[in-house]
This record gives sequence, structure tokens and C-alpha cells, in this order.
Amino acid sequence: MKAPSLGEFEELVLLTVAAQHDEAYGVSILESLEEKLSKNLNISAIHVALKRMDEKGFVRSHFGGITGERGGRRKRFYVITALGKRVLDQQYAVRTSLYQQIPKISFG
Amino acid sequence: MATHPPKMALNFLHWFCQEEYLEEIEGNMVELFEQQYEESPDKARRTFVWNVLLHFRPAFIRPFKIHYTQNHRAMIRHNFLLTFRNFKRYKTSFLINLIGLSSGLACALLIYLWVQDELSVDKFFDKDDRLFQVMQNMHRDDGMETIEATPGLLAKSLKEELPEVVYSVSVIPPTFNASKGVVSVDDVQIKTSGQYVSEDYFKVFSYKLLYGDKSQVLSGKNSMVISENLALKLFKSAENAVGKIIAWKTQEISGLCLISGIFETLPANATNQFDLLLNYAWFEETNPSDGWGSSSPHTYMLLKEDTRPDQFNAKIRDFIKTKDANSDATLFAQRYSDRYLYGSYENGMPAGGRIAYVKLFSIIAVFILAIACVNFMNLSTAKASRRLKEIGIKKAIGANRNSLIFQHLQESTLMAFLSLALAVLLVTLFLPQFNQITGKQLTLHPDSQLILSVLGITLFTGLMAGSYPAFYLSGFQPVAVLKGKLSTTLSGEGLRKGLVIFQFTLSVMLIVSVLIVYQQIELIQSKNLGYEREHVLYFDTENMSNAFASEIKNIPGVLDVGGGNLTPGKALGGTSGISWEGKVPDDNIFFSTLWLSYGLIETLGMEMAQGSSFSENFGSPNQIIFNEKAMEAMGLTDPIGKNVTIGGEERQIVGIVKNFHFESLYEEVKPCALLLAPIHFAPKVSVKIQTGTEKATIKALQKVYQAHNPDLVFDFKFMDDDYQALYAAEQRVSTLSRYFASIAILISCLGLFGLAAFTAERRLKEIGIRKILGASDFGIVRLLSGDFTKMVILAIAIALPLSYFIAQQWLESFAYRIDLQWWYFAGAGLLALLIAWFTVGLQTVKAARVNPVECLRDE
Repeated sequence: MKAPSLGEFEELVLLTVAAQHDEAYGVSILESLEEKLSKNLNISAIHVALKRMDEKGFVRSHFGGITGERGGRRKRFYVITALGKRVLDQQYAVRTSLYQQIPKISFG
Repeated sequence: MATHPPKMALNFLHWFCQEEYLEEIEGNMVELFEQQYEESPDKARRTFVWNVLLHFRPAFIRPFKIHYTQNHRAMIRHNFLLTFRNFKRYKTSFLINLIGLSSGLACALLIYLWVQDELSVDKFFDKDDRLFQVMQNMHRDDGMETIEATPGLLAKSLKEELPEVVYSVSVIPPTFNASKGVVSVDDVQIKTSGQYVSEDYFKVFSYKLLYGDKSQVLSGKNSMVISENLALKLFKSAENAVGKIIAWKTQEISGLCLISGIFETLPANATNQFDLLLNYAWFEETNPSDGWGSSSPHTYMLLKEDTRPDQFNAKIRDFIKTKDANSDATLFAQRYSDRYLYGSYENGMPAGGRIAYVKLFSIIAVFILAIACVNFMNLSTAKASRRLKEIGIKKAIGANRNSLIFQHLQESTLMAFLSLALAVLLVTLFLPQFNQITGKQLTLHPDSQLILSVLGITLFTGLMAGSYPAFYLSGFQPVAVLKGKLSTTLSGEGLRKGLVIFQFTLSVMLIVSVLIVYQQIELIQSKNLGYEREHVLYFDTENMSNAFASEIKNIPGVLDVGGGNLTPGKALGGTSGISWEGKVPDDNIFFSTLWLSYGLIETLGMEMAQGSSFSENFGSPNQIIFNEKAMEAMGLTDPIGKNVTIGGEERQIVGIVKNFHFESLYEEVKPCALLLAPIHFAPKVSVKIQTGTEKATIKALQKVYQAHNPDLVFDFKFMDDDYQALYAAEQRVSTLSRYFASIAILISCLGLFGLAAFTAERRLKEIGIRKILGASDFGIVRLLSGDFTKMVILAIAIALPLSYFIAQQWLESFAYRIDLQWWYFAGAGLLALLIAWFTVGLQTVKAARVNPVECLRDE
């Protein structure tokens, strides 16, 4: 079975989830991405990406405990799955090999 | 953090978002909001709203399934069960509701039937929207008079000269001759009403022809088209009648006719009722139309499609002037079917008419329906406190608001439809009486329009009545309801008071109108007209002679006999061509003229102001009598014995008669000249007969009449009946409004009764405690009725000025009217107050007399 595809923005989110292992939730992903990409993102985009990847099986999630923050709402933490990691690796491999085919010409 | 994100946005999110994602999404957005809030609260709020909106996308929107789809039917069954249990448990309020609503609906239904019938009059023609009648405006000294009669040449010229006119016909209506005609075949004689019409009649009026062709039937001068009804009477069957020869006889025209066609008997909602049609050419032979100055026939026309009435009217306005420069008469066309409802004219323009009654009763129907509806709402909200626990428990076990709303609407709609069933029953029961009062033949035959409107009205009433409890009660917090915290705020007191005030305002207005209409009708009915109309009968005759008169006079039981052209209430002909010594030359007094024989003044019991009645003792028959009004206008002093010239003939004034009302009381008394005529000129004979032996006298009269008029049918009328018929419309309004007002008051009182019962029940403990502390029975009655008294008094205060205004408007149409007395209003107010007190009293006295132990014991 061919693994479901991974969109560009989804890939960024998935990378962040993997990087923040077990500490990743909506706002933390948003903040980290905004910092890295230095542009404003909307939280709804993150939510949609997370929902899709959840459905595709790239991430799984669990709820944290209730705290005094966020008006008493629980955080939903995301963790990358084995499938997710494999897809990331494939994607990385494809890009790296393509990148290495670039001839060494000067861009001076 | 004490700050909260915008509530509306949050509620919206809760409403649309899937449960599974809600917490995550909300939590993240709240966190972001809290972060931003420290920088700028406004921006944070805006971003929050924006974020919520961005989440409104298919990925997060919850699937919309209605929760109770699976047990839909069970729920409805459950609601029905609860409804019926409630009916059974609170029988009084159930009955009050049922009776109130059903009588309200029944009234509305009856009025609806009546209004529909009024609106349908004359609307049955195929080309109704193109069928117009030409009306003529005559300019008189005292304003414009609009008449139906038009010059005899008009129909032809209109058709020839105006392209818009497709067909036009002249019609001499059955009312033109004071008397009806007689048709006879062999030895069957029938008195019937006929009209003379020109050839194209059936092309303009789409009456259905059973036999004969519509362009042929009236081509012969002596053709006659008769109704199916008349054909059956004369020949037993319609086929038999065609081609038969028949004799027609009136005062002016007599001859043999050939029946060339049969038309279907006219429907009851046709204003112009006739049984046979004759050719207009025949009428013209004896009454040639002499130019444009005189008017006899009515003119009807069928206009081309898309003719605009206003443009057409502008075109024909001065049509007569183009023919006869001396005439100042103007014309206008009015749709034929409009004439029934808009049959009064002011300044040469249609100005209402029967439509006023149609509107009046429509308003009354709405009033009554509103009162009944208000009742229902009031009682339902009042009852609500009994149902509070039910609602609380239902909400606690998970009933959502929609199903509660649905339950209450279902309950009230069910109630409304129960009432409708009862109302239909009531209508069928009372329709015969209603028909008698209105003089109509209404039936409750279910056509689709009726069924739809009735169901519509019922559904509307049910929903309206149920809406307040449904939406109001379902909104409470279950916890508060079950704790009993709501009992004080729940009552909806303000609204209920407002509704009671509204209800009583309408009731008081109805009481006042009934009082005033009744007084005015009484005034007209008992008004001294200046002549006696009781026990006077009159009939038409052909060959009146002194011998006939004296034979009548010899009949035992006949007190007096006289002839003349006086018919009560009918407008009279007249002249301004009377001159007398000392008359200002350009004085143009218009005198109504009456032709009387010796004896009529005595028969009618008119009183003389001066001089004497006509008498053979004066020698010459050239005698004249004026009424007092005429004397004032002429300015003659000591008139008796003076001579006046009328129509080139000298007449001596023999007396002055006191003013009498010869026309409808809508009109003022006008100057009037009474001219002595030989008795054989008189078309109408009036006979005053003794009371007690009417039957025998009339029988004897008939015998004498037949001996002298072998071809005519003895057809007499009592003057009193005739006079009553003049005010039939007012009488009907009076009777009907009395009934409807009583029903309205009854319904209001039912409501008040229910409310009083409710209040007494709710304050039972309070009453018990007050009594223990020493309050008297009377004190408690006063306490309980105080509220209601205030409401009713306020309602009276609102209603009286309103009704004063309306009453004045209505009375203005009468020339002789009652003065508005303060006690009509005070009386109506007092009556309303007394009725309210009585109703409330029934309940409060019962409540006040309760033993305090009884009501305080249980807890």
C-alpha cells in the first residue's frame, strides 16, 4: 500500500511535532513555526494539518491534565508515529538525493 | 486571568464545532487570546473572533442530525398523552379555553362567510374586469348628484365613436317602472320583473343561455328571453317554452312576444334580479329617446382588453357636452362588479358604500379572534406555574429546548383544532339563524379556498396562542426551576396585564358601538315621519276610478282611501318651475312634487299646519299644498288662498302641511309641493285599515281589485314594512353587532374568570395567613379584585375616547342622528366594570371564604 502523501505545510508541522517530541501541541507548534519561518500563521491552519495527519496515521495524540491556564481546557499533545517517521525519512531522502544532483556551478 | 474571550464567538464555536476537537481548538485559541490580551485587549478579541470564523470549515463542523429522529413518533405520542392528562386534570381551564377559542373561531368563520359572499356579488361574469357601467353626474345647486340613468343615445354613440368600447348596451332595469309586468299564457298569470335590453346584451353580460344563440335571441322586436325558473312556472319545462307565444303587459307597454331563448336562473349573488328580457327597441317605440337632455336607460359596455379605466374616464368625461352644448352633465365609467360595494357617490366620485360594513365586520372578526387568542395566551401563561416542575424535570433528564417548544406548540395547536371542530359544529348549528339576520343564503360548503383559509387561521391562532408559553417557558434554567426560585419572576405579570387591558379595551369599544347603533336605529324606527305608516297598505292599479275608490271605501274595516305617487323612502321627482307672486326671478328652488287624490292626506294622517286638506268644497280641482319647508323657502306670508303657477297651470294654495319625511332619513326634509290629481291618475292606492280585522279586509280588497283589474295580480305592501326595509342594512348591523359584542364580552369574561381563578389559587396561602391574622372576607375580596379593577378601568379609559371618535364618524352619515350622550359612554364603562367585577367576584368570594386551616395545612 502506498503511503498517503504529505503536503508541504503538513511536512513542516510534522517536523515540528517530531522535534518537540511529546511536548507538541497547537500553540507550541504555531509559535515554533512562526519563529522559524518568520511569518504569521493562523492557528486554524495548524489544526487542520494536525487533523489530517491524525486521520492519515502520521501522528497520534493524547490529552494532558487540566491546569489553571487556558481557562481550564486540556492540552492535546501530539507524537509522531512510526509511519510518520518513515514518510519523513523518505521525503528527506528524496530531497537530499535531488539536492546532490545539482551541478557545482558557481552562482557568483 | 479575569478576562474572557468574546462570548458570542465562543457560543458560535460551541454550536458548530465537533465535540472531539472542541476542547483542543478552544484551548489553543484561549491561550493565544490570553497571550495577546496583555498587549492589546481589543486586538486579542478581534483575533479571537477571526480565528473562530476561520475554524468554521467542513473539517470541524459537527454533523447536523436532529436528536429525536428515532423516537419522533414516541415523542409526539408522549406529548399527546401529557396534553390529555392536563386537560383531564384542569377541566375548568380546559373548558374555558375551548369555549373561548371555539366561539371566537365560529364568529370569525361566520363573518368570513358573510364577507366572502359580499365580495363575490356580481363577480361571476366571464369578462368581469372589462365590464363597465356608465354613470352620469348631474350638477345641482346643492352639489353633484350621480345617477345610473343615461341618455338613450349614449350606448350607440359610445360604441361608434370610441375604439375602446367593444360592445355597449342600453338597459331599462326592472326597477324603472314602479310596477312589475305581468306575463300570461292561457290562464296562467305571473307578475314578474323584466328589463328591456339592446341586442348585444348577452355579449356584454355572460349570463348562461340554455336555449338560443347569444347574438340572435334579442334580434326580433318582440323576442323575449326568459329565465329557466319562469319557464318552469309557465310551461313546466324549459324546452317546452322555446318558440311559444306569450303576452306581456305593463302600464305602458303590452303585446305578444315570442320566446326565443332561455337563460339560466340568476345566481343569488347577482344584484340585478330579473326573470325576463325584452328588446330595447320596443321600449324605445313608446318612449323615444329625445336627444341628450333626458335620461332613462342604464348604459353598460364591454371594454377592450388593457383599457386603462382612468384614461378612458378622462375621454368620456365631457362626452355629453360634445353632443349637447347646453348640458353640464359629465360621465364616468365604473366597473360593474364594483358598484355593489362602492355604490355611494360624493361629488361625482365613488365614495364607499357597502364596503364600509364589510370592513366593519372584518375588523370585528379580527377583534373577536384577537380577544379569544389573548385569552388562550393568558390562561396558558397563568397555567405555566403548574407545569414548571414538569419542564424542569424534562430539562434535567435531557430534553432540549426545541422539543419543549415543540411540545407546547403541539399542545396549543391541538387545542386550536379541537376548538375548530367545535366551531364548525357551532357554525352549522347557527348558520340558519345567521342567514335570517343577514338576509343571505350562506352555506358552509367546503371549497378549497375556505378549507385552506380556515386551517390557516386555526394554525395561526394555535401557534400564536402557544408561542408565548412555548418560547418563554422553555428558556428557564432547570436548576432554578426545580429549586422553585422562579416563582416570582415567572408570572409574566406585565404581559398578562397588558393583554387583559387590550382585551377589555376591545370589549368596551364594542359595548359602546352596540349602544349607539341601537339608539340610532331606534330613533329612525320610531321617528315621527309626519305621516302614519302603520296599518296603511298600498298597491298599484291600472284603472283607478271613483267607483273603484268608493267600493274600496265601503269594505268594512277600511278607514280611508287615497291615491298618489308616494312611496316611503324613495327619492321623488320634482320641478323648479313653480312661480308665485313676489318670487325673486332667479330664485331656483327645487320642489319635490307629489300627486295626490282627495283622501290621501287623511289616509296617511298628515297634519295640516294651516288651511285645510284638499277638498271638493273648493270647487276647482286646481289645488296645491306646500310643506312648511317650502313655505320658508318661498318666503310667503299668509299663503292660503294665493295662486301659484306650475307647468303653466294656475293652482290655489289651500293649505300648508307640517313637514314630513318622504325620503330616507339620510336626507333632510326638502321643499315639497303636493298637487291634487284626479284619482284615476294615481298609480298607487293607499288604504288605511282597521287593526284586528286585517285578514278579512285584505281578502275583500283583493276581490274588489280583481273585479276592476282582471289582468293584474293583487300585490300589496304595508308601508311600515317598506319603511323598515329602507333601513335593513342598519338593522342588520345593529343585530349582528349586538350578538358579536355579547360574544366578545363573554370571551373576555371567560378569560378574566380563568385568571381570577388562577390568582386566587396562587395566593391561597397568602389568603390563609391574612385570614388568620384577622382579615375579613370582604377585605380579601377587595384585595384580589383590586388588580383586575385597575386593569379594567385603564381599559375603559383607553376605549372611551376611541369609541367616541368612531361613533361620531359613523353618525355623520345620518341627517337625523342622536346626540352622543355622556351616559352612553359612562354606561358602557360601568357595564364593563360590573361584568368584570361579577366574573372576578365569583372566584374571589369563593377564595375568601376558604377555611385558612385547609389551605395552610398541607406542605
